[in-house]
Amino acid sequence: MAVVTLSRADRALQRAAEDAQRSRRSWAVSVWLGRLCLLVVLIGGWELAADQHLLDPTFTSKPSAIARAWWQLAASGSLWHHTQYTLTEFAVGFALGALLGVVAACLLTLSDLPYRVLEPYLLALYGIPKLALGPLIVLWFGVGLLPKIVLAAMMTFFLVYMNTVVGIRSTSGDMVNVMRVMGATRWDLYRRLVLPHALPYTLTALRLTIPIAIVGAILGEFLGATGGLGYLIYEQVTFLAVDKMMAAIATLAAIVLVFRLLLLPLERWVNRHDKAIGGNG
Amino acid sequence: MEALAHREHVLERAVDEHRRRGRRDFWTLYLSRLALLLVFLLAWQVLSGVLLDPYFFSRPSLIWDQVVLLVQSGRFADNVLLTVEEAFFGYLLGAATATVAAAVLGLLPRAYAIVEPFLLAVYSIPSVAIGPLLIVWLGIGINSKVVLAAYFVFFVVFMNGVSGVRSVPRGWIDVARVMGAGRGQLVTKIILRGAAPHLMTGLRTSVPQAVIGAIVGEFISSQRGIGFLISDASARYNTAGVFAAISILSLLVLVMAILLNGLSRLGARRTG
Amino acid sequence: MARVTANGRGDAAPRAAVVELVSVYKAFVAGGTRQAKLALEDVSLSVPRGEFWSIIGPSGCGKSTILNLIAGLSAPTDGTVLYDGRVVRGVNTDVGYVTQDDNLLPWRTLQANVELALELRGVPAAQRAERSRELIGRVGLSGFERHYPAELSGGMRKRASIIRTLIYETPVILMDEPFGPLDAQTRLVLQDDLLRLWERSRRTILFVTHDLVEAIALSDRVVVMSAAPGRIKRVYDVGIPRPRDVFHIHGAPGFSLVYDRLWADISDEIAVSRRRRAGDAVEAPEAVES
Repeated sequence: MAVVTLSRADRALQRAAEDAQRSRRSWAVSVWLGRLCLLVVLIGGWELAADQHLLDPTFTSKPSAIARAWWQLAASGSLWHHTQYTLTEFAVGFALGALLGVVAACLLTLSDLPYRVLEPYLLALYGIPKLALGPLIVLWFGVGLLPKIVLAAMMTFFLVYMNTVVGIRSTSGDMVNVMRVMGATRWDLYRRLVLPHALPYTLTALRLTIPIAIVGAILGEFLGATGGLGYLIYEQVTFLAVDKMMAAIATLAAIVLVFRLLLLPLERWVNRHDKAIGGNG
Repeated sequence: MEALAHREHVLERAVDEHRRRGRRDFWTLYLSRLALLLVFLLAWQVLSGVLLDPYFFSRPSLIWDQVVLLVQSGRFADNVLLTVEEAFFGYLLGAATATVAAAVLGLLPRAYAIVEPFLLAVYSIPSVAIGPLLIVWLGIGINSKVVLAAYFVFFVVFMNGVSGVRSVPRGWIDVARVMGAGRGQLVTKIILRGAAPHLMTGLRTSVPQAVIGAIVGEFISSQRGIGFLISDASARYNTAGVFAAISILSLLVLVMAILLNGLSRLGARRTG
Repeated sequence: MARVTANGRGDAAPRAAVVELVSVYKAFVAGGTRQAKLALEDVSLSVPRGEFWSIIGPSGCGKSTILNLIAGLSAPTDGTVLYDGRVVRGVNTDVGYVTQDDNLLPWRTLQANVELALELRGVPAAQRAERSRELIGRVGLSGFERHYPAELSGGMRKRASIIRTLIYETPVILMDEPFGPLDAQTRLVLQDDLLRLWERSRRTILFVTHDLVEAIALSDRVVVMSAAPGRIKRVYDVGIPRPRDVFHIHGAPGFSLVYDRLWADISDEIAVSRRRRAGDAVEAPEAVES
């Protein structure tokens, strides 16, 4: 007896689904159109304004010139040469800072007294603008890779340390008690409760420190270097080569973006158990 | 009667125990902290010239001499004031533009969705990297530092502001609508008001960023300011001078943090 | 039907006590003050092996404090806490603890959560899986083994948290308002589950609740505590025959008699604590219970 008439309820459901899809689609279309328009207006407007000398091309350059400069730098191999410097400084400093940050957080939370003794000093060190230490670091470590690595590591260390401590300290006291009653040792507590709980906090810190670790490396390059994207940018000031500066800046932004995108799947995997809570995390 | 006496006894014991532990904690804590600081400074002072190369590490007494020298020669006030000025105007510029941008884009979700990738791209530019560009555009005077400081401040305030606008519960808006609030009232009385705590966080945490922006600008190119003091001393291999300038800067940041803490505690009751 | 005894030691405990509190006092110093507050005053209890006891009383009467003392998570200010005849010193790993929040580890699947205690005790994986599967099945959670807590309903999480404690077969289980945050229907179903699980193994349970009906439906005895400082006001022998039907417990013989007497006691205490709270609301309204 399958009469092919939709009940009113079915029809309502269908209409709701269609409406939702339509509004989603129209939203997506308008957003993407808007983005496209904005891109065209920005790039085209810049280009035109520079051509018509509404903007002084010596100072603002223009998109086509920047693209050309980028291509020349890339073709001559100098872009890759400088990128290698910056990447090495960043990668080594970031890894070092992150590792030290996590280890320090674990050690200092093991027992209460050392933590409370050291806390004000760590906060004071945290309060010192680390970038301001740049010249001192250069004075100490010269103009090679080392001072940049140290700067990148310092920029990474504190945030990773702070966030990991917050993570460790936010472990539920109830759960600690439950596990102690179950017979858990201190090592059990760290391995099975405290560290897994703190991991998302650490990962958030890692994501946030990627750009600032690169900032540390670049400042180091400004203060004295023989290579690196920061050095490349700094060098152009005397030549007023805005196109090359912009090309190098764009490359830096791309590096930051790539690293953040690389961390995303890791974060998603660590937080995989949260999927029922909502996909926007 | 006896039960009551026993109760008193138990309470006394708890207070005693608490007091004893509290006192012990207090002394171990503060004495250890103080001892650590003294040992550190003393070791630095004594070991400098023995284990530590004074050329690289200087020593506390020399650093103190440098600070005194800076203050007496009048260079202290001159340079500190310039950096504070750069940071102040940079903060105003960055915070104001970021607040307006966050309010507008927070209220217009479609517009926000459109500009989001552009913002992400700009956000990915390491803040320091645009320093030299600003020098080219605005010269080595105060303007380039103000704008760099503003750039350091902008994203912190903007991100917090947007998340503030988005955090306003749908229920508040519905309630206000049912009460007959117009669009303007909705924006001013509910949405911006509800976003205030988040925005305040951004406005507070970005203050040191303004100082850092100014300092970094001075590193890149300048003839005055705390950043100049640091890089100049460093270029002359005057380690004590570098430490002295960094100490002054740290003190400046600390004073600002304390002031801000007081202010935000005052404001916390009103912004919720 | 409902016998009333003056205190827990009452009518010459027929079976050996597994948990015993002898004239226990517990005082706390509230944070930031120099004032001590008495949470427990002269509490004596003697819980025989294999019985189901409930503790009820107004909030802040130190019910949870009693559980923490038995678990060895805190020490009495005066008096003695005995477990199996020995004085409890340090964490007591012979008891299982079910807290009010389910406290499941969000990054572990249901099965991994249930197996946690066995894992800590070094039980091989195959054996762990066998035992956890059996228990998971018994509370009707089969098929959800690989789900994370965030994907389970409140009632399911609660079941998981209970079998997580049952799995390592401690002689005594402490439950601190385990069904507190659940809705009324889910509560009933879980009470039924708990009774079935308990009737199979007959371990000793100390169950803190503020729900009268729940206490009567589940327990052999109900301990009524007075408002702060917590004292034992009376211990009721419920006496409703087992197996019980929690869904129709109101109709069980003797129910209304116990209920009325319990309610009379409790309502007195609630009135006292409310008066007192109104009195020193300005001073320190926070309960001293830890």
